[in-house]
Amino acid sequence: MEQLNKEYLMDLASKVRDYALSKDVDAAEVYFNYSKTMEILAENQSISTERSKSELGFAIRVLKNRAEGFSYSNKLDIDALKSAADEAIAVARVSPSKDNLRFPSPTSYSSIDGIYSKSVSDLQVDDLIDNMKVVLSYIKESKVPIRVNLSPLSVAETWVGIVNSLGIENFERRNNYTGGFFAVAREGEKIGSFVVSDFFTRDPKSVDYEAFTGDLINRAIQNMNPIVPKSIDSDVVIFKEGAVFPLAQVVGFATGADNVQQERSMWKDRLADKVALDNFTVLDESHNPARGAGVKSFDGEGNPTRQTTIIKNGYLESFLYDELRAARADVVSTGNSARQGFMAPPNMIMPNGPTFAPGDMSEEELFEDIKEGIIFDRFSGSTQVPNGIFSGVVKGAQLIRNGELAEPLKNVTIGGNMFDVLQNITGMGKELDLVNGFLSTPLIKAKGVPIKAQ
Amino acid sequence: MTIDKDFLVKGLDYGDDLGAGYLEIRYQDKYLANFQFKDNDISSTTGSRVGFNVRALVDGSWGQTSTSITTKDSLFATVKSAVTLAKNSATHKDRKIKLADVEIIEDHVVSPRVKHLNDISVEDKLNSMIDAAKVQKDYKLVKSLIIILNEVVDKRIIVTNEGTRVSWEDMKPTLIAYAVAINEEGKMGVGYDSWSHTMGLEFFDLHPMDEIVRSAAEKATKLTSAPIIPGGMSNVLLDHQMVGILAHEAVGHTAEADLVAMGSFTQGKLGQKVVDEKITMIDAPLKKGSKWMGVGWLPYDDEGVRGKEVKLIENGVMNGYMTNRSYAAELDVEATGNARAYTFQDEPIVRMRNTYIEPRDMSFDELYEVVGDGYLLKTMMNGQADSSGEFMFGAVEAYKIRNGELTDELYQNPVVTGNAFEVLSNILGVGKDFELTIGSGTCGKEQPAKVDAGGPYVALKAMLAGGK
Repeated sequence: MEQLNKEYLMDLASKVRDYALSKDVDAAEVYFNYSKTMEILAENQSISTERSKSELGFAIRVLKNRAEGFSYSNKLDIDALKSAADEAIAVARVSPSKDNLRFPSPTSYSSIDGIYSKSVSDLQVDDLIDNMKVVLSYIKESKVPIRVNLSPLSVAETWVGIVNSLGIENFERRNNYTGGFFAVAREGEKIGSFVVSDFFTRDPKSVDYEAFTGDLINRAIQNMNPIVPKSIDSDVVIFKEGAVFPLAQVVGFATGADNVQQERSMWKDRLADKVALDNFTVLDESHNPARGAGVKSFDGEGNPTRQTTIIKNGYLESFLYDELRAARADVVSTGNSARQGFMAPPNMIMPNGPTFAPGDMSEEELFEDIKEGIIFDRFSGSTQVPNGIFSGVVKGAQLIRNGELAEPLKNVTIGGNMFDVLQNITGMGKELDLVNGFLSTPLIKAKGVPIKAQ
Repeated sequence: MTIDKDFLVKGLDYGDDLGAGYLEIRYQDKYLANFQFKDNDISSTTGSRVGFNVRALVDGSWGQTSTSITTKDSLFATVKSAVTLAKNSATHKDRKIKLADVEIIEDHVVSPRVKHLNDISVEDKLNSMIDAAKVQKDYKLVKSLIIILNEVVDKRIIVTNEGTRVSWEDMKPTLIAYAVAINEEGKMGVGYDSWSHTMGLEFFDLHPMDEIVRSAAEKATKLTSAPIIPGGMSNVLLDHQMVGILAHEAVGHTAEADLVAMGSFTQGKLGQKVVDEKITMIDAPLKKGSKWMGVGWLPYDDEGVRGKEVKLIENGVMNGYMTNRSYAAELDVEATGNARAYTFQDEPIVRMRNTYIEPRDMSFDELYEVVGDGYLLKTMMNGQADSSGEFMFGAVEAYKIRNGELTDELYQNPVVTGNAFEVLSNILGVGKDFELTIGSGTCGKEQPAKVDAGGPYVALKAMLAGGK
């Protein structure tokens, strides 16, 4: 479809904005998102499906007497988009006013190098097939049978544009190449738990498929014969995927200005206070393309993103703001307004490149004084995110004994309060890992986390 | 331009000319509305997504393409892309996909409802939420209140070059209230209530918004002073929702044919005893609760296959799997109509519909008696499980059962964990009072799906996680 280019889409968005403005509203904004994905899927250790998908959608937001209306449509038709604008206007007319609700004014921003990669856009379906064949060949060579299912290699490209009646006219292309593999080891009656490995990159040549698949296979096999410990005499954990859920989840909630202003955050009165030990620093590295899928030049409202230090050496330095919460706090937006594509207004505050800053400890140094502890991998449990209380089981748990990795474990339950954990971080690793394509974190050692064997 | 079955059949004809083996075209027009009241802010998100999804099976290999552009030219381009991808992948494929034979169907179905969800205006819906939120003033400790109303109105047409021509329309409202209370000592309680059915506007007669809000606010308030439940093995009594999540999440997923093929717990277990003989578990396309149609209503799946009831476990013995056409062929069983896609972009994968444990004969008093000393876990909050049956489910509240009597001693954050097949082999009793309700009714296996689940109250022995 030749018409899908920047100029055509920005022009269409401007026409819809101008139509909304002609209907007696105070401000109008049109956001669009065009996404296209090419994907090769593996099932039953074989290439099963090739698929491609594309969608273009428009979101219309209007303000009338400080009340907001929103609607969307994926119909590429000016009349359908005008109808969506009419619905947004109708909603604004019945919605309550919100103090300080406004759209941002234009602020200059610099496009971030590296979030659109020609080497990713050059990938063809045959490249993905070749890469999938390499992964599956390693899977088939495993000494223990490994099954993979619902496991894609994907190339994704997104175009994002936003125009508003105050003069914002922003446009950006982003792309990435990802893999996500869902594997289980089974030999006779011995069945493992699922393990998931993923990668995210904008440099396809950097992917080491042998190492990636080797790690997936090893973890699947490790999870096949876990031991039920009789007891664990320890409260020491090394966070791996547990750093995302529940640790980053709790920290993210507490530092969002929406939760602060609604008094849901436990840190609502703690700005500049010490909320963690000296070794804990949290950044929003919005301008570092290595920080994953959330990195962008402008946020969901068109404000430029920023590099933000959230916690520095244990001290709470900044909350994260969108335009509305920044206006209410009389500060400048940190560029953290987030959208779920075109189907939702920018009503979330999220970090763009969340990063737990690395420390200076090697893996050996982190482990060496641990008499007994566990690797806190995938958390399967319940978290009361506002107050930090969590309890559940650790999937993929592994025992650390006398400074060495020991047996894989099952039926290990864990519980406590993440705000207490932040006061008990005893070591930060020096290597950063991008987890789930979103959070950059080193290995984190903490004590005071109650662990129980069932 | 009207998009109907005849329009889509032109795409089939074009695909046949290109040498497609099996060709299936799905058109979907999905209206989604999300109305949210969050601490005196109101937000409304409404909109439609339309699109084509074309799947071609050529020489045992799938090609799939979707697009939101719904012109005739785009339909033909999408068909061509799917056929080309299928032909391409066929040259690289180790295992050839086959499809189970199915009944060829021509039908149009509309889900049961009295009044269309859009018979009242957006304005009226928002005002109803504002009125319901006024309940918060009766609960001084409630600091935060969220009310969510979601509506799905879905129209689908599926045509295949085998001759199937089916279409259906459904509507599924969901209502959720979430309250956070903080007492004078700074202790927090989280209350939650949620409902979702296949139904029209009459949903709100069954579940008035103010009652849902009051339920969540009361729970949150009471839980501020509730201790955390002690961990360890215990006798527990699960309510309808907790039984539903156990049936769906911990057992049901292991009987989805794609996960069976991957080596889930139930692989190779047909005809074998897997749980206590008091347990019979079913997944049904059109199951009713006491006053409503289950939100997993699905007369035909997204491959155009008629929905069939699947008895997964019968009197403790593994009896059947849920399938799509390809896994039905692979396992040499019947296609059960469980292939589901959420949006036009999604591939149909094996999903549940309404999954439940059948009731037996015990009264509530008899269930308390067999529990003796333990806890009643009420209102499902969240849950996870894996294909081996290992699970973790959180409930909103737990009440102490002591000496066979239910007390009003309340505990917060109960989490029950273990292996579902072991837990369901340690049954103390199965109740006779049945309900189909899994709360907000959304399953997240790769893509969302509206599902329901339930059963009677079930007493069993299980591990309570965490706690102090």
